[in-house]
Amino acid sequence: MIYQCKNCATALRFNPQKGLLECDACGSAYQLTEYEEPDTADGKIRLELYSCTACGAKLAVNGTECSSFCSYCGQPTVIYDRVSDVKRPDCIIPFRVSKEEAVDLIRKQLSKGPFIADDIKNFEAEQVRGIYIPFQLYDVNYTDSQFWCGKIDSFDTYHMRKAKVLFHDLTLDASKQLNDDLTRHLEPYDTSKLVPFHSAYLSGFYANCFDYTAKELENEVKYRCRNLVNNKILKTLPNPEEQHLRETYPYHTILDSKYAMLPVWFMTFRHKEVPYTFVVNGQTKKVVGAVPYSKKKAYSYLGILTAILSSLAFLLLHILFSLLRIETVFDIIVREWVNWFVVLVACFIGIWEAGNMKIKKINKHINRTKESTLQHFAKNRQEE
Amino acid sequence: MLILIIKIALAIVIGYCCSYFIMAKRLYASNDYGDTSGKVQDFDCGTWELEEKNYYGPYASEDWKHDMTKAKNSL
Repeated sequence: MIYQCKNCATALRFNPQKGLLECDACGSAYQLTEYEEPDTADGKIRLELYSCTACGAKLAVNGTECSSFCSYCGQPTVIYDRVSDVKRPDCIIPFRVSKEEAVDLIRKQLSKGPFIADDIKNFEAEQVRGIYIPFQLYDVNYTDSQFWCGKIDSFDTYHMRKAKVLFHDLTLDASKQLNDDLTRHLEPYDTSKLVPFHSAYLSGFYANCFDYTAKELENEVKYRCRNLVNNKILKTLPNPEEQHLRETYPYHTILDSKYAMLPVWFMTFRHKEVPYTFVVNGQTKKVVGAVPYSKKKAYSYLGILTAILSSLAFLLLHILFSLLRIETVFDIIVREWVNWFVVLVACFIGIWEAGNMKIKKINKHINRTKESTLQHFAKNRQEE
Repeated sequence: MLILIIKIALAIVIGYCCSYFIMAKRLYASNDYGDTSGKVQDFDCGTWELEEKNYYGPYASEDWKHDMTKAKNSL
Protein backbone atom coordinates (compact mmCIF):
# COMPACT_ATOMS: atom_id res chain seq x y z
CA MET A 1 0.00 0.00 0.00
CA ILE A 2 1.60 3.25 -1.16
CA TYR A 3 0.42 6.53 0.32
CA GLN A 4 0.67 9.18 -2.39
CA CYS A 5 1.07 12.92 -2.06
CA LYS A 6 -2.24 14.68 -2.76
CA ASN A 7 -0.29 17.41 -4.48
CA CYS A 8 2.16 15.58 -6.79
CA ALA A 9 1.32 11.86 -6.37
CA THR A 10 4.83 10.99 -5.11
CA ALA A 11 5.08 8.21 -2.52
CA LEU A 12 5.05 9.63 1.02
CA ARG A 13 7.38 8.76 3.86
CA PHE A 14 6.67 8.82 7.59
CA ASN A 15 8.78 11.45 9.35
CA PRO A 16 9.61 10.12 12.83
CA GLN A 17 10.40 13.52 14.36
CA LYS A 18 7.27 15.29 13.15
CA GLY A 19 4.99 12.26 13.22
CA LEU A 20 3.69 13.26 9.77
CA LEU A 21 3.65 11.75 6.28
CA GLU A 22 5.97 13.85 4.13
CA CYS A 23 6.56 14.19 0.42
CA ASP A 24 10.23 14.27 -0.58
CA ALA A 25 9.38 15.90 -3.94
CA CYS A 26 7.17 18.89 -3.05
CA GLY A 27 7.62 19.06 0.72
CA SER A 28 3.92 18.64 1.57
CA ALA A 29 3.09 17.08 4.92
CA TYR A 30 -0.03 15.21 5.97
CA GLN A 31 -1.53 13.88 9.16
CA LEU A 32 -2.00 10.10 9.17
CA THR A 33 -5.71 10.63 9.81
CA GLU A 34 -5.98 12.21 6.34
CA TYR A 35 -5.41 8.78 4.82
CA GLU A 36 -7.82 5.96 5.33
CA GLU A 37 -6.58 2.51 6.19
CA PRO A 38 -7.40 -0.02 3.48
CA ASP A 39 -10.16 -2.46 4.33
CA THR A 40 -8.81 -4.78 7.00
CA ALA A 41 -11.88 -6.86 7.71
CA ASP A 42 -9.87 -10.09 7.55
CA GLY A 43 -7.29 -8.64 9.98
CA LYS A 44 -4.53 -8.66 7.35
CA ILE A 45 -2.43 -6.10 5.51
CA ARG A 46 -0.88 -6.37 2.08
CA LEU A 47 2.90 -6.02 2.01
CA GLU A 48 5.70 -6.80 -0.43
CA LEU A 49 8.05 -9.45 0.84
CA TYR A 50 11.79 -9.48 0.17
CA SER A 51 13.98 -12.50 0.95
CA CYS A 52 17.70 -12.67 1.56
CA THR A 53 19.24 -15.55 -0.36
CA ALA A 54 22.24 -15.60 1.97
CA CYS A 55 20.53 -15.90 5.33
CA GLY A 56 16.85 -16.50 4.62
CA ALA A 57 15.58 -13.35 6.36
CA LYS A 58 12.25 -11.98 5.18
CA LEU A 59 11.49 -8.29 5.24
CA ALA A 60 8.18 -6.69 4.43
CA VAL A 61 7.79 -3.32 2.75
CA ASN A 62 4.65 -1.34 2.07
CA GLY A 63 5.61 -0.18 -1.40
CA THR A 64 7.68 2.95 -0.89
CA GLU A 65 11.00 1.18 -0.47
CA CYS A 66 12.85 -1.47 -2.34
CA SER A 67 15.48 -3.60 -0.79
CA SER A 68 19.08 -3.89 -1.98
CA PHE A 69 20.84 -5.41 1.00
CA CYS A 70 19.96 -7.53 4.00
CA SER A 71 19.83 -5.63 7.28
CA TYR A 72 20.71 -8.71 9.26
CA CYS A 73 23.70 -10.15 7.44
CA GLY A 74 24.77 -7.11 5.41
CA GLN A 75 24.83 -9.05 2.10
CA PRO A 76 23.52 -7.51 -1.12
CA THR A 77 21.66 -10.72 -1.86
CA VAL A 78 18.10 -9.59 -1.31
CA ILE A 79 15.52 -10.55 -3.92
CA TYR A 80 11.92 -9.57 -4.37
CA ASP A 81 9.77 -12.47 -3.24
CA ARG A 82 6.05 -11.82 -3.52
CA VAL A 83 3.14 -9.70 -2.42
CA SER A 84 1.66 -11.25 0.64
CA ASP A 85 -1.19 -10.69 3.08
CA VAL A 86 0.22 -10.73 6.56
CA LYS A 87 -1.48 -10.50 9.94
CA ARG A 88 -2.21 -6.92 10.83
CA PRO A 89 -0.56 -5.84 14.11
CA ASP A 90 -2.88 -4.60 16.86
CA CYS A 91 -0.69 -1.67 17.77
CA ILE A 92 2.57 0.06 16.99
CA ILE A 93 5.11 2.40 18.54
CA PRO A 94 6.02 4.70 15.64
CA PHE A 95 9.64 5.65 15.01
CA ARG A 96 10.62 8.71 17.04
CA VAL A 97 14.29 8.66 16.04
CA SER A 98 15.33 9.64 12.51
CA LYS A 99 17.97 7.82 10.47
CA GLU A 100 20.43 10.71 10.94
CA GLU A 101 19.89 10.67 14.69
CA ALA A 102 20.42 6.91 14.80
CA VAL A 103 23.71 7.20 12.88
CA ASP A 104 24.83 10.06 15.16
CA LEU A 105 24.02 7.97 18.23
CA ILE A 106 26.11 5.06 16.94
CA ARG A 107 28.99 7.41 15.98
CA LYS A 108 28.82 8.99 19.44
CA GLN A 109 28.92 5.56 21.04
CA LEU A 110 31.91 4.48 18.95
CA SER A 111 33.75 7.77 19.49
CA LYS A 112 33.76 6.97 23.23
CA GLY A 113 36.03 4.04 22.45
CA PRO A 114 39.65 5.20 22.21
CA PHE A 115 40.86 1.74 21.13
CA ILE A 116 38.39 1.12 18.33
CA ALA A 117 39.93 0.73 14.88
CA ASP A 118 39.56 3.82 12.67
CA ASP A 119 37.81 1.93 9.87
CA ILE A 120 35.06 0.98 12.33
CA LYS A 121 34.76 4.53 13.67
CA ASN A 122 34.41 5.92 10.14
CA PHE A 123 31.78 3.40 9.12
CA GLU A 124 29.71 3.79 5.97
CA ALA A 125 26.29 4.99 7.01
CA GLU A 126 24.61 3.62 3.90
CA GLN A 127 23.56 0.32 5.39
CA VAL A 128 21.22 1.80 7.95
CA ARG A 129 17.64 0.69 7.97
CA GLY A 130 14.62 1.24 10.15
CA ILE A 131 12.72 -1.95 10.81
CA TYR A 132 9.59 -2.53 12.81
CA ILE A 133 10.22 -5.66 14.86
CA PRO A 134 7.31 -7.90 15.82
CA PHE A 135 6.67 -8.28 19.53
CA GLN A 136 3.97 -10.04 21.46
CA LEU A 137 2.83 -8.04 24.48
CA TYR A 138 1.26 -9.80 27.44
CA ASP A 139 -0.70 -8.87 30.51
CA VAL A 140 0.04 -11.57 33.04
CA ASN A 141 -1.18 -12.28 36.54
CA TYR A 142 1.61 -14.12 38.35
CA THR A 143 1.61 -15.46 41.91
CA ASP A 144 4.23 -17.47 43.74
CA SER A 145 4.84 -18.69 47.29
CA GLN A 146 8.47 -19.53 47.94
CA PHE A 147 10.00 -21.22 50.96
CA TRP A 148 13.69 -20.71 51.57
CA CYS A 149 16.02 -22.06 54.21
CA GLY A 150 19.66 -21.40 54.92
CA LYS A 151 22.17 -20.21 57.45
CA ILE A 152 23.25 -16.87 58.86
CA ASP A 153 26.27 -17.03 61.20
CA SER A 154 25.76 -20.80 61.65
CA PHE A 155 22.09 -20.30 62.73
CA ASP A 156 19.36 -21.95 60.66
CA THR A 157 17.04 -19.40 59.09
CA TYR A 158 13.70 -19.86 57.34
CA HIS A 159 11.91 -17.48 55.01
CA MET A 160 8.63 -17.29 53.18
CA ARG A 161 8.00 -14.93 50.27
CA LYS A 162 4.62 -14.46 48.63
CA ALA A 163 4.58 -12.50 45.39
CA LYS A 164 1.52 -11.30 43.54
CA VAL A 165 2.38 -9.47 40.36
CA LEU A 166 0.31 -8.03 37.57
CA PHE A 167 2.62 -7.63 34.60
CA HIS A 168 1.40 -5.10 32.07
CA ASP A 169 2.66 -5.18 28.46
CA LEU A 170 5.47 -7.63 29.07
CA THR A 171 7.36 -7.52 25.76
CA LEU A 172 8.54 -10.68 24.01
CA ASP A 173 10.32 -10.67 20.68
CA ALA A 174 8.31 -12.67 18.14
CA SER A 175 11.02 -12.80 15.49
CA LYS A 176 13.14 -15.88 14.84
CA GLN A 177 15.87 -13.94 13.07
CA LEU A 178 16.81 -11.78 15.98
CA ASN A 179 18.83 -12.89 18.91
CA ASP A 180 16.55 -12.65 21.98
CA ASP A 181 19.38 -11.29 24.04
CA LEU A 182 19.76 -8.40 21.61
CA THR A 183 16.08 -7.49 21.75
CA ARG A 184 16.08 -7.79 25.55
CA HIS A 185 18.89 -5.26 25.69
CA LEU A 186 16.89 -2.87 23.51
CA GLU A 187 14.19 -2.78 26.16
CA PRO A 188 12.48 -1.11 27.86
CA TYR A 189 10.03 0.44 25.43
CA ASP A 190 7.58 2.99 26.72
CA THR A 191 4.40 1.03 25.99
CA SER A 192 2.23 3.95 27.10
CA LYS A 193 3.08 5.42 23.67
CA LEU A 194 1.52 2.49 21.80
CA VAL A 195 -1.00 3.60 19.19
CA PRO A 196 -3.45 1.60 17.10
CA PHE A 197 -1.76 0.24 13.98
CA HIS A 198 -1.96 2.25 10.74
CA SER A 199 -0.03 1.01 7.72
CA ALA A 200 1.08 4.58 6.95
CA TYR A 201 3.55 4.28 9.84
CA LEU A 202 5.42 1.73 7.72
CA SER A 203 6.00 4.24 4.89
CA GLY A 204 9.74 4.51 4.43
CA PHE A 205 10.45 1.68 6.83
CA TYR A 206 10.63 -2.08 6.76
CA ALA A 207 8.73 -4.54 8.84
CA ASN A 208 9.67 -7.98 9.96
CA CYS A 209 6.76 -10.40 10.03
CA PHE A 210 6.25 -12.38 13.21
CA ASP A 211 7.49 -15.98 13.40
CA TYR A 212 5.93 -16.83 16.75
CA THR A 213 2.29 -16.42 17.63
CA ALA A 214 1.17 -15.28 21.07
CA LYS A 215 0.30 -18.89 21.89
CA GLU A 216 3.74 -20.19 20.88
CA LEU A 217 5.49 -17.79 23.25
CA GLU A 218 3.42 -18.67 26.32
CA ASN A 219 6.15 -20.86 27.80
CA GLU A 220 8.61 -18.05 27.33
CA VAL A 221 6.22 -15.72 29.17
CA LYS A 222 6.14 -18.09 32.12
CA TYR A 223 9.93 -18.34 32.15
CA ARG A 224 10.35 -14.56 31.92
CA CYS A 225 7.86 -13.86 34.74
CA ARG A 226 9.48 -16.50 36.92
CA ASN A 227 12.92 -14.98 36.40
CA LEU A 228 11.71 -11.47 37.19
CA VAL A 229 9.97 -12.66 40.36
CA ASN A 230 12.87 -14.86 41.50
CA ASN A 231 15.38 -12.04 41.02
CA LYS A 232 13.22 -9.65 43.00
CA ILE A 233 12.71 -12.17 45.81
CA LEU A 234 16.42 -12.99 45.99
CA LYS A 235 17.13 -9.33 46.70
CA THR A 236 14.91 -9.45 49.79
CA LEU A 237 16.69 -12.42 51.37
CA PRO A 238 19.47 -11.88 53.90
CA ASN A 239 22.68 -13.57 52.67
CA PRO A 240 21.02 -14.81 49.46
CA GLU A 241 24.04 -16.93 48.50
CA GLU A 242 23.54 -18.96 51.70
CA GLN A 243 19.83 -19.57 51.07
CA HIS A 244 18.28 -22.51 49.25
CA LEU A 245 14.88 -22.59 47.64
CA ARG A 246 13.11 -25.50 49.29
CA GLU A 247 9.65 -25.26 47.73
CA THR A 248 7.89 -22.97 45.29
CA TYR A 249 4.29 -22.75 44.13
CA PRO A 250 4.17 -20.58 41.00
CA TYR A 251 0.97 -19.92 39.12
CA HIS A 252 0.33 -17.66 36.17
CA THR A 253 -2.60 -16.59 34.04
CA ILE A 254 -2.23 -14.73 30.77
CA LEU A 255 -4.96 -12.11 30.82
CA ASP A 256 -4.40 -10.54 27.43
CA SER A 257 -1.95 -10.47 24.53
CA LYS A 258 -1.34 -8.03 21.71
CA TYR A 259 0.68 -8.19 18.51
CA ALA A 260 2.77 -5.03 18.29
CA MET A 261 5.43 -3.56 16.01
CA LEU A 262 8.27 -1.79 17.80
CA PRO A 263 10.85 0.44 16.05
CA VAL A 264 14.54 -0.49 15.71
CA TRP A 265 17.31 1.04 13.60
CA PHE A 266 19.79 -1.51 12.24
CA MET A 267 23.26 -0.76 11.05
CA THR A 268 25.37 -3.61 9.73
CA PHE A 269 28.98 -3.17 8.76
CA ARG A 270 31.84 -5.50 8.05
CA HIS A 271 35.20 -5.56 9.74
CA LYS A 272 37.74 -8.11 8.48
CA GLU A 273 34.93 -9.85 6.58
CA VAL A 274 32.88 -10.36 9.75
CA PRO A 275 29.49 -8.63 9.94
CA TYR A 276 28.61 -6.64 13.06
CA THR A 277 25.14 -5.31 13.70
CA PHE A 278 24.46 -2.27 15.85
CA VAL A 279 20.89 -1.55 16.78
CA VAL A 280 19.22 1.56 18.13
CA ASN A 281 15.89 1.62 19.91
CA GLY A 282 13.78 3.75 17.55
CA GLN A 283 11.82 5.18 20.46
CA THR A 284 14.24 5.62 23.37
CA LYS A 285 17.56 6.08 21.45
CA LYS A 286 19.23 3.27 23.34
CA VAL A 287 22.25 1.91 21.42
CA VAL A 288 23.10 -1.79 21.63
CA GLY A 289 26.22 -3.30 20.14
CA ALA A 290 29.91 -3.88 20.66
CA VAL A 291 32.85 -3.82 18.27
CA PRO A 292 36.34 -5.27 18.31
CA TYR A 293 39.08 -3.07 19.67
CA SER A 294 42.60 -2.64 18.36
CA LYS A 295 44.83 -4.72 20.63
CA LYS A 296 47.85 -2.74 19.49
CA LYS A 297 46.23 0.54 20.61
CA ALA A 298 44.99 -0.99 23.87
CA TYR A 299 48.32 -2.53 24.88
CA SER A 300 50.28 0.60 23.96
CA TYR A 301 47.94 2.59 26.20
CA LEU A 302 48.33 -0.01 28.94
CA GLY A 303 52.14 0.11 28.66
CA ILE A 304 52.36 3.92 28.83
CA LEU A 305 49.83 4.21 31.66
CA THR A 306 51.59 1.45 33.62
CA ALA A 307 54.91 3.29 33.28
CA ILE A 308 53.37 6.57 34.52
CA LEU A 309 51.38 5.07 37.38
CA SER A 310 54.24 2.80 38.46
CA SER A 311 56.57 5.81 38.67
CA LEU A 312 54.02 7.67 40.76
CA ALA A 313 53.50 4.62 42.97
CA PHE A 314 57.26 4.26 43.38
CA LEU A 315 57.51 7.88 44.50
CA LEU A 316 54.67 7.43 47.00
CA LEU A 317 56.16 4.19 48.31
CA HIS A 318 59.52 5.90 48.69
CA ILE A 319 57.93 8.66 50.79
CA LEU A 320 55.92 6.11 52.79
CA PHE A 321 58.99 3.99 53.51
CA SER A 322 60.88 7.10 54.65
CA LEU A 323 58.02 8.16 56.94
CA LEU A 324 57.77 4.67 58.42
CA ARG A 325 61.57 4.48 58.63
CA ILE A 326 61.74 1.22 56.73
CA GLU A 327 65.28 1.00 55.54
CA THR A 328 65.99 -2.73 55.34
CA VAL A 329 64.06 -5.95 54.73
CA PHE A 330 64.76 -6.72 58.37
CA ASP A 331 62.57 -3.69 59.38
CA ILE A 332 59.68 -5.11 57.32
CA ILE A 333 59.90 -8.51 58.96
CA VAL A 334 60.53 -7.42 62.54
CA ARG A 335 57.91 -4.65 62.53
CA GLU A 336 55.36 -6.97 60.90
CA TRP A 337 54.76 -4.90 57.76
CA VAL A 338 54.64 -8.08 55.66
CA ASN A 339 50.91 -8.62 56.32
CA TRP A 340 50.11 -5.04 55.33
CA PHE A 341 52.01 -5.43 52.08
CA VAL A 342 50.19 -8.67 51.33
CA VAL A 343 46.84 -6.92 51.93
CA LEU A 344 47.97 -4.02 49.71
CA VAL A 345 48.92 -6.36 46.86
CA ALA A 346 45.66 -8.34 47.30
CA CYS A 347 43.64 -5.11 47.03
CA PHE A 348 45.31 -4.16 43.77
CA ILE A 349 44.91 -7.68 42.39
CA GLY A 350 41.21 -7.24 43.23
CA ILE A 351 41.18 -4.05 41.14
CA TRP A 352 42.87 -5.94 38.30
CA GLU A 353 40.24 -8.69 38.54
CA ALA A 354 37.45 -6.10 38.33
CA GLY A 355 39.03 -4.87 35.10
CA ASN A 356 39.44 -8.42 33.85
CA MET A 357 35.73 -9.07 34.44
CA LYS A 358 34.94 -6.05 32.29
CA ILE A 359 37.22 -7.32 29.50
CA LYS A 360 35.48 -10.72 29.61
CA LYS A 361 32.11 -8.98 29.43
CA ILE A 362 33.29 -6.89 26.46
CA ASN A 363 34.39 -10.02 24.57
CA LYS A 364 31.00 -11.57 25.29
CA HIS A 365 29.29 -8.43 23.96
CA ILE A 366 31.39 -8.48 20.79
CA ASN A 367 30.40 -12.10 20.16
CA ARG A 368 26.77 -11.21 20.74
CA THR A 369 27.01 -8.42 18.17
CA LYS A 370 28.33 -10.97 15.69
CA GLU A 371 25.70 -13.52 16.69
CA SER A 372 22.92 -11.01 16.28
CA THR A 373 23.38 -11.27 12.56
CA LEU A 374 21.54 -14.03 10.82
CA GLN A 375 24.52 -16.30 10.33
CA HIS A 376 23.34 -18.75 12.95
CA PHE A 377 19.77 -18.45 11.83
CA ALA A 378 20.81 -19.19 8.22
CA LYS A 379 22.80 -22.19 9.34
CA ASN A 380 19.83 -23.52 11.29
CA ARG A 381 17.56 -23.07 8.31
CA GLN A 382 19.93 -24.88 6.01
CA GLU A 383 19.99 -27.76 8.45
CA GLU A 384 16.21 -27.86 8.79
CA MET B 1 69.27 -3.07 47.45
CA LEU B 2 66.58 -5.60 48.38
CA ILE B 3 64.34 -2.86 49.72
CA LEU B 4 64.65 -1.07 46.38
CA ILE B 5 63.58 -4.24 44.55
CA ILE B 6 60.57 -4.55 46.87
CA LYS B 7 59.61 -0.92 46.21
CA ILE B 8 59.92 -1.40 42.44
CA ALA B 9 57.94 -4.66 42.50
CA LEU B 10 55.16 -3.11 44.57
CA ALA B 11 55.07 -0.02 42.35
CA ILE B 12 54.80 -2.16 39.19
CA VAL B 13 51.98 -4.24 40.69
CA ILE B 14 50.08 -1.10 41.73
CA GLY B 15 50.73 0.66 38.42
CA TYR B 16 49.82 -2.33 36.24
CA CYS B 17 46.62 -3.24 38.14
CA CYS B 18 45.32 0.34 38.12
CA SER B 19 46.22 0.81 34.44
CA TYR B 20 44.51 -2.42 33.46
CA PHE B 21 41.35 -1.37 35.29
CA ILE B 22 41.36 2.09 33.68
CA MET B 23 41.90 0.56 30.22
CA ALA B 24 39.05 -1.92 30.76
CA LYS B 25 36.74 0.86 31.94
CA ARG B 26 37.49 2.96 28.87
CA LEU B 27 36.96 -0.03 26.60
CA TYR B 28 33.66 -0.78 28.28
CA ALA B 29 32.41 2.75 27.63
CA SER B 30 32.02 1.99 23.93
CA ASN B 31 31.19 -1.71 24.24
CA ASP B 32 28.68 -1.89 27.08
CA TYR B 33 26.00 -3.42 24.84
CA GLY B 34 23.38 -1.06 26.23
CA ASP B 35 23.95 -2.19 29.81
CA THR B 36 24.70 1.23 31.23
CA SER B 37 22.51 3.34 28.96
CA GLY B 38 19.27 1.85 30.20
CA LYS B 39 17.95 -1.06 32.14
CA VAL B 40 16.82 -4.31 30.62
CA GLN B 41 13.08 -4.52 31.22
CA ASP B 42 12.82 -4.73 34.96
CA PHE B 43 10.12 -4.51 37.56
CA ASP B 44 8.61 -1.33 36.28
CA CYS B 45 6.31 -3.22 33.93
CA GLY B 46 3.91 -4.41 36.58
CA THR B 47 2.16 -3.94 39.90
CA TRP B 48 3.92 -5.78 42.68
CA GLU B 49 2.77 -7.06 46.04
CA LEU B 50 5.41 -8.87 48.01
CA GLU B 51 4.78 -10.40 51.42
CA GLU B 52 7.87 -11.27 53.45
CA LYS B 53 7.96 -13.50 56.48
CA ASN B 54 11.13 -14.54 58.29
CA TYR B 55 11.08 -17.29 60.88
CA TYR B 56 13.45 -17.11 63.83
CA GLY B 57 13.40 -18.73 67.26
CA PRO B 58 12.96 -22.26 68.69
CA TYR B 59 9.91 -23.23 66.60
CA ALA B 60 11.05 -21.56 63.40
CA SER B 61 11.24 -24.69 61.28
CA GLU B 62 7.82 -25.99 62.48
CA ASP B 63 6.09 -22.65 61.74
CA TRP B 64 7.78 -22.53 58.36
CA LYS B 65 6.74 -26.10 57.47
CA HIS B 66 3.20 -25.36 58.64
CA ASP B 67 2.95 -22.38 56.27
CA MET B 68 4.47 -24.48 53.48
CA THR B 69 1.75 -27.13 53.88
CA LYS B 70 -0.89 -24.39 53.97
CA ALA B 71 0.43 -22.94 50.70
CA LYS B 72 0.44 -26.39 49.10
CA ASN B 73 -3.15 -27.09 50.19
CA SER B 74 -4.39 -23.73 48.98
CA LEU B 75 -3.47 -24.59 45.39
